[in-house]
Amino acid sequence: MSDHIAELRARQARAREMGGEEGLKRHRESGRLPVRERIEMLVDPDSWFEIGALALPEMRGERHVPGDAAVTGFGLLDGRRVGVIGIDSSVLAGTTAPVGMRKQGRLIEHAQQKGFPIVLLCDADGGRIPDVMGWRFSTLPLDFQTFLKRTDGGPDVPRAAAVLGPSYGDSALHASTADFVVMAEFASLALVGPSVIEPATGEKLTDQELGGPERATAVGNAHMVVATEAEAFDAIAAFLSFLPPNSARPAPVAPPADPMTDPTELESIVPLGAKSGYDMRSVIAAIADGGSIMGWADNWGPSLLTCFARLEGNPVGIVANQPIIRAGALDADALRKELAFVRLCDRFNLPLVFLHDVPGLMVGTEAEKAGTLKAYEELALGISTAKVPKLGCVLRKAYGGGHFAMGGRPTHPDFLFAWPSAELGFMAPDTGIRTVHRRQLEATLAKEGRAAHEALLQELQSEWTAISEPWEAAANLAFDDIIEPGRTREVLIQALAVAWGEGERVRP
Amino acid sequence: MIGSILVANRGEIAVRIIRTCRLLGIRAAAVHSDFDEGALWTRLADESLRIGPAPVAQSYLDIAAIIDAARTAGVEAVHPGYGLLSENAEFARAVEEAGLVFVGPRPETIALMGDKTAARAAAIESQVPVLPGSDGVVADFSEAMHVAERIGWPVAVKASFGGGGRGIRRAGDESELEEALASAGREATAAFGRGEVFLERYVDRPRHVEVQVLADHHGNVVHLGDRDCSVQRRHQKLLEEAPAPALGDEMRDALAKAAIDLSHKVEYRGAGTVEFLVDPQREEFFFLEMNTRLQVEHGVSELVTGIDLVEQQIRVASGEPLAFRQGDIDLRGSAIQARIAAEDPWDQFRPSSGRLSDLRLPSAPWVRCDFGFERGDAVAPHYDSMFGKVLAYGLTRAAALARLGQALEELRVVGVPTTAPYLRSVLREPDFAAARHHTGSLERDWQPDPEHRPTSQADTGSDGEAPQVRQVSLPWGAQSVAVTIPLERSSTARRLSKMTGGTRERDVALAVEKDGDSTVRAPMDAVVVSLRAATGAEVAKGDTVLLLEAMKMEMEICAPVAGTVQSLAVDAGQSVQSGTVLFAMEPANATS
Repeated sequence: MSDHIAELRARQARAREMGGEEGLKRHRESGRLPVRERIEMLVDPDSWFEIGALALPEMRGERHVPGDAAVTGFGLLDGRRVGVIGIDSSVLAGTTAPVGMRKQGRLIEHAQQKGFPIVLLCDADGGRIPDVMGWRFSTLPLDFQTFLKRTDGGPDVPRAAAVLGPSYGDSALHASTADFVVMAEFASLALVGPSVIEPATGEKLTDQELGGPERATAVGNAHMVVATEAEAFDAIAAFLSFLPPNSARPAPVAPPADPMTDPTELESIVPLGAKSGYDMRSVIAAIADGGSIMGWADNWGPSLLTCFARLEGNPVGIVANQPIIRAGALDADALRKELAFVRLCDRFNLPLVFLHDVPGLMVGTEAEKAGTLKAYEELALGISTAKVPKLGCVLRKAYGGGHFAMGGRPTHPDFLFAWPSAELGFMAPDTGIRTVHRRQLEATLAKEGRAAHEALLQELQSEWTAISEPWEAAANLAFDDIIEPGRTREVLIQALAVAWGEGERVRP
Repeated sequence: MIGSILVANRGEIAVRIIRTCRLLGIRAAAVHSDFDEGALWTRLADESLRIGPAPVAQSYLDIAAIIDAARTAGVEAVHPGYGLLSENAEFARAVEEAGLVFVGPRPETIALMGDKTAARAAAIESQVPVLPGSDGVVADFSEAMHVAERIGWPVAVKASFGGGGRGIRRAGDESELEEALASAGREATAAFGRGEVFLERYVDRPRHVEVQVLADHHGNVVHLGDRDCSVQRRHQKLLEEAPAPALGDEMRDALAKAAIDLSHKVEYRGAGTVEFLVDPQREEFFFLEMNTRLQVEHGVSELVTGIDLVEQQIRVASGEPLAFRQGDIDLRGSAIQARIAAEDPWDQFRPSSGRLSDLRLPSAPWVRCDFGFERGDAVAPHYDSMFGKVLAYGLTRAAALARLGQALEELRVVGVPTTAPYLRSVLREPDFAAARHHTGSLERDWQPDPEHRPTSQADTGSDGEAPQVRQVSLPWGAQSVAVTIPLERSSTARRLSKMTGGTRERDVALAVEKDGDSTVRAPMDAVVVSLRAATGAEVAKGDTVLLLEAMKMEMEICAPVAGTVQSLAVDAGQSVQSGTVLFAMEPANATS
C-alpha cells in the first residue's frame, strides 16, 4: 500500500504543477496570477474541496497538461458555498478540450443540482487544436441544457465570472452566461480572438481593441472593470452577498446601516426645473443603506443606472434614470440593460425600486436602427411579469414610454409614489404642445401674427403644466401617495415590507 | 559613486532606500524572510535574497545571513536602514570586514554613541549640556538611591544600551526606584542583550527636539534644521515635525551648534541625529542621545530642505565631499509626519496583526506617503507594527497640519486598526495646534475619545468578537464606493483568519478570555519574558504573575482575583499564542 500511496502523492503533486516552471514564469510575467493562487485568494482558507484534479487530456503529447488545463472544486466565499471553475492559462493558453469540458460540466451540474452559486475564472484562448478539430467538434461534450443555465425547472443559481485575461471561445461563452461579469483592466472578452479574426476577415486588432474593458462593458458583456485580480474577487464576493444561494431561497439580510447622505438633503440634491442635471448616484446615496451600493453595468446604456443596494439591510435592485447622461433619455442599450437587470433581480428575489426622472425614450432614425421599439416592448413585458415586489417613485419628470419603461402603472408595480416636484404626462410640455396643438398654433400665427402665437403658446403651456402636476394623478389613484423627498427611504422601507407580505421573501 | 547596495531592512524604509538607489542608477538588492517573500521592496529591488525564517533573530538580525546575502548579490555596500541592525557596531564591523562599505558612520562611532554613558561623556567634552545624572552605570540599588538623592526626584532610569524608547523608566521615590531599575534592565537585556542602567534627572513637561546632521569624510558637518517629536507614547514617537515649533532663535541656534560640535568631536560621518530634551519653562536643553542612522522621521527634514538624505548618505559613504555648505541649506516651510501603525489607540495602542484587505493612500498636493506594503499584504506579529508614514508640507505649520489632517482622513486601511484616526484627532488638539504640548501630553491629556472610535474597527480588528461583515471598495461610475459584505455566520472565523493573515493558519478566533475569572489566557501572540510567581504562590488581586512581550511592548499579566496561582503552564522565553492558557487562579475565599 505504501507504494500506491507514494504514487498517488506523486500524481497529486504533478496534477498541481500547472504550466510548470516555464509556463508559470511566462504567465506571471504577463501580470496574471496562476489559477491556483486565484482560487486561494478567492475562497476562505481551508475551505477548498477539489474534484477532477487528476484529469488529463484525451489527446496526449509530450506536454504535461495537469487537470486538462482547468481546476474545478467547491469552497466557501465569506461563508457562502460556491462552485468554482478556474481555467489554467499557464498551460496551452488555457485552451479547452473534451475532458476539461466534461470536468467543467460536472462542476456546473453539481452546483446547480445542489443549489449554490458558480464562480467562473475566465482566462482562455478558445478551443484546443487539434483536440477540437474535425468530427471531434461535433462530438464535444458540451451540454447547453446545463452549461448555459439550469433548464430542468429546478431553482436557478447565480453565476459570477471574473475575466482575468484574454477570454475567447467557451471562456467567453461562460462569461456570457454569468449574471455578473467583472473584468480586470488588462483582460479582454470576445467571441473569438484576434488570431482567428485576422485570417477570417482580414481585420487586424489587438486584444484590447477587440474586447478590452471599454468595448466589453459598452455592450454589457462585462459589468464592472477593476484594476487588480484581488479587486475582481472582492467584486464577486460583494455581488454574491446580495443574492441567495439559489432562486428558491430569500436574499440574505445584512445589518442595517444609515444612508451615507442624510435623506433630508434630497430636498436640495434634486434641482427644480426639468432642465438642470444632477447625479442620480447622490440620490441613491441618500436612500440606500450606507456601504450597500454596488453598481452593475455602469457603462452599458449609461443614461440608466442599475445597482444593488440594501434598505434597512434588505437587498434590492435599484433602477434609476441618470439625468447627467443624455438627460436620462432611454435608448435601446439602456432598455436592454434594464431588462437584463430586472430579470436578474426577479430570478433571485430582489425587489425592484424604480427612481424616475426620465424625459422619455430616444426617438429618431438612429434609435429605430438600434431596435428601440422591440427593446421597449420586451422590457415592458419583463417588468410586467416580474414577480418580486416592485416599487416606484417619480422624483421629477416621468414622460410617456419612458415612464412605463421605469415600471409605470401598466407594468403592475406594487406601489408608486411621487415627489411634489413630479411632472407627468405622455410627452414633455414644449414638444407636446407643438405636437398636440400644431394646427391651432399654425393658424394663429398665420391669422393673428407672432404676438398672438406667443400668447397662445404661454396659455397652452400653463394648462399643460397644471395637468402635469402630481395632484390629479394622486386624486385618481395613479399614485399611492405624494411624499416629501426626505421621507423617500422610510416610505420605501415600509412599502417593501407590505409588498413582500407575510410569507418567506421568495417570489411566488 | 557606489554602484550597488544591499538594503538590509524591510518595510517602508527598505522601499524608501531602494527608491533613491533607483533614482541614482544604483543596483539595489533587497533581503527578505520567508514571511516577506514577494513583498513590495523585494519587487522594487533588482533582486531579493532570502535570509531566513520569519522571526527577526533568524533573519533581519542575523548578521551572518545578511553578509552572506551581500556576498551572493555581489554588492559594494550595505545600507542598514533604521532599527534592526542599523546601530549595531558589530554588524557595521562585519560589513567592513567583508570588504564592503557600510552606509553609516564608522563602527567605533556607533559603539560610542550606542553606549549612553560614553555618549554622555563625549557630549560633556563637547560642552554640550547634559542632564544631571549618575555619570555612568549604577551598580546596585543603594548606589542608585545615592545618585537619586543627589540629582533630586523624580529620576529617569535608563538602559545604557537601550534605544527606541525601550528600557526607560521614571521613578518618583524610593519604592518606585527598585522596580524601575529591575524592569529597565530586564527590558534592555531582552532587547539588546545588555542590562546596565544609569540615572538622570527627570524633566517635567519637556519637549523632544532633535537636530539632523550630515557629515562627510572630509571634516564637513552641516545641520539640516531641527525636528520636534514630542508627541510620543511610551517614548515611541507618533507625530514628528520640522522645524520644531515655538522655539526661540537663540535656542534653535544653540541646539544646532551643540549638534555640530558633538559631530565634530566624534568625527561623525553620514546622516545622524542629535536628540535633546528641551525644558521650555527654564529655557534649557540637555543632550539625550545621538542616533547614528537615518531616522523614521527623516522625511520631514527632506521636505523642508529639499535634500534627499538617503542620497547624501550614499554619497558620503562613497567618499564624496558634501556638495553644499551650511549657508547653502535653505529651510523653507513646515512639514509634519504621522506614523501609521497597526495599533488600536482605543485599546491602549494594542498592536495588531492582520491582512491589509484594503489600503488606499491619500494622493493630494503636498502629501507624501512612505509605505512598505500594499493592499493584500499582512502586518505580521513578528515585526514592528508601523507599516507606513504619511507626511504633509505647508508654507506654514498650520497649512501642514491641515493637509496632514485631510490626508489622514483620506487614508483608507481595512484589516487592522491604525493610529491614523487618533492622530487626526491629535492634530486638532488646541495644545498641539498652539505648540504648547510636551512629551507627556499624549498619555496624560489626549486620551482617545471613545465617541470617535472608528466603527470599522469593530469590523476589522483581530481581537474580540468575530466580525459579521467585511468591507471592500468597488468602482461605481467614476467614484469608488465602500461595499459591506455580510458574512455567513457559519464561517466568520474562517474569513477572519483569512483577513488576519500573518502566519495564516493562526487561530485568531481565540481572544482575551477569562473563564469564570479564574483562567487567564494570553491576550495576543507573545513571548513570556519572566515569571513573577510560581505555582502555589499566594497573590493579591492585580499582582503581576508574569510578563509578556509582543511587538516591542511588555505587558504585565496580573492575577484577576486574590488567591493561589494554579498550574502555571508557561516558562520564561516561551512563545505563546493568543488564547493560550497561562495559568489558573484558585480564589482566596475558596481556599479558606
